[in-house]
Amino acid sequence: MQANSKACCIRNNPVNNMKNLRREDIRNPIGKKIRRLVVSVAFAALLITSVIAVISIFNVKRKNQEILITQMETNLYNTIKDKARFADSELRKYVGYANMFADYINFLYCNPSKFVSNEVFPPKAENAGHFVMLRTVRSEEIKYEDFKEECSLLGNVEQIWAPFMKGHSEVSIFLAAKSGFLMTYDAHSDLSVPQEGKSEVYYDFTGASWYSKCAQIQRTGFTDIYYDHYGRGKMITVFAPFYNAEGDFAGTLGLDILIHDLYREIVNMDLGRGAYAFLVDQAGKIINNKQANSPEADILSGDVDITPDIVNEILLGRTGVKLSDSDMYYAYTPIRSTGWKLYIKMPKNLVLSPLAYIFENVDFALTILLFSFLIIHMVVQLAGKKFSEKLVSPIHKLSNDVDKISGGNIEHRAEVISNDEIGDLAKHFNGMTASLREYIANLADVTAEKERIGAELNIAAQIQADMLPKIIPPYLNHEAFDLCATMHPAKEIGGDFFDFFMIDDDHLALVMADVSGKGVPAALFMVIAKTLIKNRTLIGGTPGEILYDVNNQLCEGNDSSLFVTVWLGILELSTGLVKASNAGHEPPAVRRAGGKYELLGTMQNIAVAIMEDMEFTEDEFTLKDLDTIYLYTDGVTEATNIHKELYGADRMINELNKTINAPSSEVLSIMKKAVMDFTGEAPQFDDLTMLCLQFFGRHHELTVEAKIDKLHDVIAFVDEYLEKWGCPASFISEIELAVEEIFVNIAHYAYNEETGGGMANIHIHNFGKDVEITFTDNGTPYNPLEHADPDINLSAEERDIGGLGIYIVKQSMNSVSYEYIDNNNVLKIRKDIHE
Amino acid sequence: MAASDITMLKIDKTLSENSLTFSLEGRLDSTTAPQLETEIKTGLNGVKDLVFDMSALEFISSAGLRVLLLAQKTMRKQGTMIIKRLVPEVLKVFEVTGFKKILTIE
Repeated sequence: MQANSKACCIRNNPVNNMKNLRREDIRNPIGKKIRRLVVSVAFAALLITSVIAVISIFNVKRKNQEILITQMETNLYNTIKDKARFADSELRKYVGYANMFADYINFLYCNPSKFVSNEVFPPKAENAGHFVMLRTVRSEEIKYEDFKEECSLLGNVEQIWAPFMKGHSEVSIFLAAKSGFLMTYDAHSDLSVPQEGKSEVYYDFTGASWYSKCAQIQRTGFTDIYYDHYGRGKMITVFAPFYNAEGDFAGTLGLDILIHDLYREIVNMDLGRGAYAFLVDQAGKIINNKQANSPEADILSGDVDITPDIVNEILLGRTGVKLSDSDMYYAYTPIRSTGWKLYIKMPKNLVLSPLAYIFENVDFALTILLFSFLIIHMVVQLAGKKFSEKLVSPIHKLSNDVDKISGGNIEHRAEVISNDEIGDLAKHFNGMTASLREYIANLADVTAEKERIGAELNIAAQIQADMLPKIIPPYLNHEAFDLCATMHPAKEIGGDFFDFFMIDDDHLALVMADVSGKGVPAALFMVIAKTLIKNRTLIGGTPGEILYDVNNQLCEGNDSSLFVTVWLGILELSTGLVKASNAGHEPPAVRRAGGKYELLGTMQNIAVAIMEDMEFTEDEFTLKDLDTIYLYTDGVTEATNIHKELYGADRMINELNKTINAPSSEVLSIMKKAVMDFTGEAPQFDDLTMLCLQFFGRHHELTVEAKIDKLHDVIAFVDEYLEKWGCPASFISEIELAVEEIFVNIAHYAYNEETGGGMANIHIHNFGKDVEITFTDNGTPYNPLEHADPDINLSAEERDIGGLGIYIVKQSMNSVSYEYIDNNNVLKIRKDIHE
Repeated sequence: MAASDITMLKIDKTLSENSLTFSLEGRLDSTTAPQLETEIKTGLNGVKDLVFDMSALEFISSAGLRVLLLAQKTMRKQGTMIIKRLVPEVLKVFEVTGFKKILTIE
């Protein structure tokens, strides 16, 4: 049973677990936890890294921007300064050339003797393409002969102009003498040839700004910008005065410079898209730019980006870099030699264009970072999933295996598929399952064995119980006693027993015994003891003799040293005399009619089967009518409750006294209930064995006045016992008739009216199969049996009524006898109960 | 049977013209027989048919028989006497004593 219930428990567990799991709202598997953890950690790491990277990138971006702008501003500043310085030096170079040529001319004037005459001719078309000296006259009033000598002297300037022009094709060189002629050295002889009929080319140079200005200030300087009258573009002219030998102003030397060339030289730099350089002359006009073709254009025209303060700065000849409101950088500086200004206009985004590249790269990096982030996240998700599956799958496998095992398949073994802790767990679980299987097998064996033994013991207990006598006739409704005996066995088979049996019609043997120990040995010993006692008792003898013999027989071969306490009593039903012997047993409790229960004082003897040849003393006592005797074993007095208290004889006597006037069976059931109530939850250690006998007696007597009016008392007395003894109604009726006839006879004849009333004694005696009633009176001696029987064949008129009563008695009784003893008439009638 | 019950004899008389019926209930023994004897000595004048209904009579002793014999002797002179419906115990007494032969029993 235990094994089964355990197996049931094991089998039920997973179901319970499942229920528990279902009862939980959220199941949180390990795999999910690991996956979540891995993903969370990876996500956090990635996020932190990404944030740091992004912040760094933005920092770099910002720093770069700042650095770039600073750098660019510095660059712009330096560039503008460099360019201005370069332009200045270029212009001064031309000034130098002009001064050198003017000095050389002065040298010619001062030393004419050192030079031969070098005549200069008017332009001839056929000389076009060759650098030659050419002369032009101021006006027709002036004749060649007027300046021929001076002109031929100055013609020697060709000696330095020719080599100079080879290296400076960008310029045109010329001189204008105060005396009225102009001298050039160029390859454009075809451009201006003398008109038809004239020998000279005329040009009044005195109106030209370079001549008039130079003649006025008599210093080296620059003209304003003007358009070359040859159509070559915008020009300026460097002029220098030259003096004759007397030191008077003799003329102006000029160097024409094409602005385009100069500008190209100055702003020969890659400023980038949208960036422009501007030259501004002293009048504030833009000298050259690509946007404005008009030389008159000033700074403001066509430039919406520039602000007045910048314009002011530029015109004041300051040097600096400024950012306009529309994100345009302006760098500006003056050119000293000419008083011009140079400025560069550049969009800020152009400045930041390197940064834009960086920004593009940053954006790209950010995109890459985001993608990497997503990809890594996905990879980590997948990897985490795979990892957790790899980690958890052995657990799942193990869990399934465990389910199988706990589902009852104890032969199943968990598969060890990993060499980690889970593998260890699987191994341990297999070990545990093996142990469990072994345990269950053992348990099954043990249980089967126990069940077998238990079943056998049950049979043994049944056999033992069956050996005890049953309350069936003649013991049921016996005329002399009301007997009941019960044994309520303890869980374990024991050695208590009771016995009762008729030795002969008038003798009833009562046995109450308790074999020492418990279990099969005690039960076997009980069987032997009971059998021996009964057999020996039936042979005859007193209880002392019986126990003497039984003791010797039981002592033979009693190696197991079992013994038995016995109370053996033999009750003589006719007299109520009990002969008893108590061999170590509890004393009986006896209740006298109308009184209370008391323990009977007995002579104590040693228990049976302890020692051979023991004498057993005897007790004698008499049970009177309606006395009760109660026999029991220590199962009653030593019943123990949970407080280890014994029930004891006092409680037993008290409880017995509550049962007065109850039949024996009820006495025993009340006692059993009382003992059970007392022990309560405590286990029953010993058999509860009891026997109760109420003695009715077999002979009773009544002494009454011998008067007719006492007749019904006598009849009632006789009826009471006949009914108690269970006699049939017809039997009682016949006895009643006989008793009446005899009693009326005594009343009529034993005592006459003169002598007065005497007494009559009626004694009723049950011999089991027949009843004897004795009538005794000390009246007049009279033997009614001597009276002749009436002739019952006479007619009614002839019949004498006398003698009919005693005739009826003779007819209905089995025997009627009369004796006169000790002055007493003694009449006896006897009749079989079951005739 | 308790003592109080056995003391009783109940006699019901039913007189119809010259026919008298005694219905007896209880015991007809030495103590109760004088009751019936009195009834018979005083109540049979002019009665031609005397009937004893004994269906409820449980017991009869020789004293009862003596009264019945007395009644029989009286009725022989003036009419008939019939005893009816005897219970087995009472009938047995009648048999034992030969009264079954000398009395008219139905």
